[in-house]
Amino acid sequence: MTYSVSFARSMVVAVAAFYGMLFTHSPAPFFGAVRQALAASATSTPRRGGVLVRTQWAPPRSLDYCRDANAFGVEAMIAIYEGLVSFDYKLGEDFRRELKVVPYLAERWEQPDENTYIFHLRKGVKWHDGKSLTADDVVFSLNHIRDQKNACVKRGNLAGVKSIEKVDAMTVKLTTDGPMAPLLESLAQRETAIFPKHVYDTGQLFKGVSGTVGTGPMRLKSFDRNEKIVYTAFEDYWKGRPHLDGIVAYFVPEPQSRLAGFLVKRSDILTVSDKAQYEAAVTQSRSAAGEGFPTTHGYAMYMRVDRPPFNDVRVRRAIHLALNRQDMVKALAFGLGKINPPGVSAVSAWAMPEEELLKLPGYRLPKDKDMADAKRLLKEAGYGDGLAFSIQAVSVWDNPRIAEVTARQLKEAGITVRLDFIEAGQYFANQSKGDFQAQLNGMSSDSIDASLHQYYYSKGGGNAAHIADTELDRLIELQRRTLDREKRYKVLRQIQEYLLDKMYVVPTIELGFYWITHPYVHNLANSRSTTVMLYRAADIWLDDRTPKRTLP
Amino acid sequence: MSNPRIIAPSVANGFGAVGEVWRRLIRLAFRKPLGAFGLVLVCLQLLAAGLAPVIAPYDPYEQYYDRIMVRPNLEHLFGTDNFGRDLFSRVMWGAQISIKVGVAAVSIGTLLGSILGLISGYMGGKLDMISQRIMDGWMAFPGIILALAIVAVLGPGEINVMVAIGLSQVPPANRVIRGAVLAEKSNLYIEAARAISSSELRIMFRHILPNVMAPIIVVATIALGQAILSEAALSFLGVGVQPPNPAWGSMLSGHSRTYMLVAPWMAIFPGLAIFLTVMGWNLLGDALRDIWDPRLRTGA
Repeated sequence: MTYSVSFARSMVVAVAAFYGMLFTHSPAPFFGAVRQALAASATSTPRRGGVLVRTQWAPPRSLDYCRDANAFGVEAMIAIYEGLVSFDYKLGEDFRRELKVVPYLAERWEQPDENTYIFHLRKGVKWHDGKSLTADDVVFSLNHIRDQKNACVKRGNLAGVKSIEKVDAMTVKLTTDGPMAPLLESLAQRETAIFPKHVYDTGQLFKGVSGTVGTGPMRLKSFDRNEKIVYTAFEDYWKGRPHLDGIVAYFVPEPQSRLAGFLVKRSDILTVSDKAQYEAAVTQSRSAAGEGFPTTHGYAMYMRVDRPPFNDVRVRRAIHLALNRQDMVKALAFGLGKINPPGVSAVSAWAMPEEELLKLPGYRLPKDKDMADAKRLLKEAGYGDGLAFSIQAVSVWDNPRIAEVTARQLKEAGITVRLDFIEAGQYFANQSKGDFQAQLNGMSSDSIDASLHQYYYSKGGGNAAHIADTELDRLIELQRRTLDREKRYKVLRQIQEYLLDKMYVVPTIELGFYWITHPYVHNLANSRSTTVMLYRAADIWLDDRTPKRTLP
Repeated sequence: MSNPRIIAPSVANGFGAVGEVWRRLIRLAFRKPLGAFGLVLVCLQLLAAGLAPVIAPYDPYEQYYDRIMVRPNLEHLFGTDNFGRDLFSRVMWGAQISIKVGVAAVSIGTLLGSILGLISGYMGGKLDMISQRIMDGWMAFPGIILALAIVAVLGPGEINVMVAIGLSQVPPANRVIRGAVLAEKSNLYIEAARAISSSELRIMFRHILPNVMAPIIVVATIALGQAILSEAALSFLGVGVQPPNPAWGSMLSGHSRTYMLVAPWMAIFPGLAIFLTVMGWNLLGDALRDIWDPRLRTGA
């Protein structure tokens, strides 16, 4: 909804809002009016040209989009590489509810039987070096991703795929080893991208700027991992030339520096992880607009469930019972977050309904009964005098905040937690070596199948908790093989109930997240991601209020 | 059996002596007003540290989710942080951590530096040459960088921070004490001690050490301010005392930085505590140096 209000009037309201915040400390009502009034002054016809500048928390570890497709890798490469299919990201819509899959590099597909998919590639798609996309590229890419020796982060996306064959120059046949309910979702995952075989054949794929060749709307111009990554518009993009001339992303780890850069229009878009920062940004900038949403980056506590004390289910249940997620939402997400069931993001269509979840032990209020049960379980497990253990957490981003609240809440049940805040590299090294008692981390995935296989499956790549449960493996496999949506939902409900009982990983909450843009930025499709903002880079355009810039 | 006629004058003399001490202290305070101000600040910190359990109105770890980022008011003198914790209570308890780490680090640094300086200065020769070259190498690293490197090896935590800061303070203490020992060992009383066959150890620790105590105290006092600052810096960088412990440095880092624009009091009060404490110790150290250094003493 927009209002037609003059710019001058809007400024008066903005100033009033600012002073209102100073004196009342409840500025929220002012912001909507200011934001929308100023948004109304924007023109609606796309304008060609301009350089979009943004800040990114950290650089990708490398340009290898297979091995290093973590959040920062994805953000760096999302405008360069594309997949056969994609989720339907639209302005103002939450794609996660239905996970609708739409054609992308494949213009259509058919499924002659339960185990076979035939993809017809879009004609006229060019690589950044001018060569045409062919079936050879698709066959190579999907085989490259699923090949163990390439150590691709999301190789699990293609688990269950038996073969990938070229039918003709523009057609690919994909055969699975049985029914695969989430196959299209897995192919729509941003990491299941298509790479140029001809570049791989020269041995240059992922090596430097010349080895970074995609079909996306932006070409890589330069990459300095200590400073910035620069993209330039791809003139021959299959959807037509992007509106922007280019994009620059500076790597700025410090939140206040990112905010300061945004406020003086040295960057055009910003992500922040809570309402307080969001309100500060909107108030200070006086014209920026934003949107808050719960993420799919659910925080959870992994424990080494194969070792004492966490090999005792009573201890794990006690920890679950002692946590007060409602307070976590208040303290950590300032009301915007969501309470997660185990194994699935609360915003997913597959999640147990919230009203049902909040009646269950561990989730319900008041906490008296749960707290008493937690103490009883600890006593039965032999920890009546108290349980002590350490939780490792990455020392940056939101991890310390969540760890501090978790530790304090567990204290109420007589559980003493030592917090070890460590550098991210050390944290993940410890995780892969299993060198920890408990770790606190975000479990992020748009696809429930990918998430279950990664974190809960006994052979999953991210099974940090060292879960080895044949019944759970069977259920995870079953949901993957169940094509009927209703039946699959029942299996997924069964998995959530099973995980509630076993509590291998203790879920906490999804944090709220905010995207903020200056009013001259248009058509930025919100992917509901904490970091990845450039999903539809070809659609973004800047109006004539944008500061004049040239590509570095 | 005591004689009242003797006791009475001695008691009177005692009171007279106490009065005289106070009078001298007051005169000293007027002569060194900055030093006196430093002493007041130091006393305030010591009081805050000692009486934190009594004067802090809230548990410094308790989180009140209905009072998140409340600005300073009568109920919460310094406001609350992003978990609703009372910042006044946390700053008071933080004084304890600050003093504890500072005193321990300075004790390690000054003790080790003084002993090495004493031996090096007294023995002289190759031992002195070698130990001083080692100190040259040691001093080539700025104190905070050295402390960071040591913490990187040992890992974060209160004890490790004490050791790291303490080790980074060895060279300055060593140099100052060695200099004082070099001046002291040429005195006649040392020759006299040698003449009566006193052992080297006895001469060093029985005769020289008491006479170089003044520079040791000055070095320690100034170093304490630096140690507190280093602890704050390490905690600020996330490698010092770990949250949720209310160390001033970690209070100034992390959440405070995130919410600097929304709740500036989260950074202002711990920052102010660090500033006043370090200033207090430095002013006091400077004043003590002036008092005990005959070259700087007024009228000397």
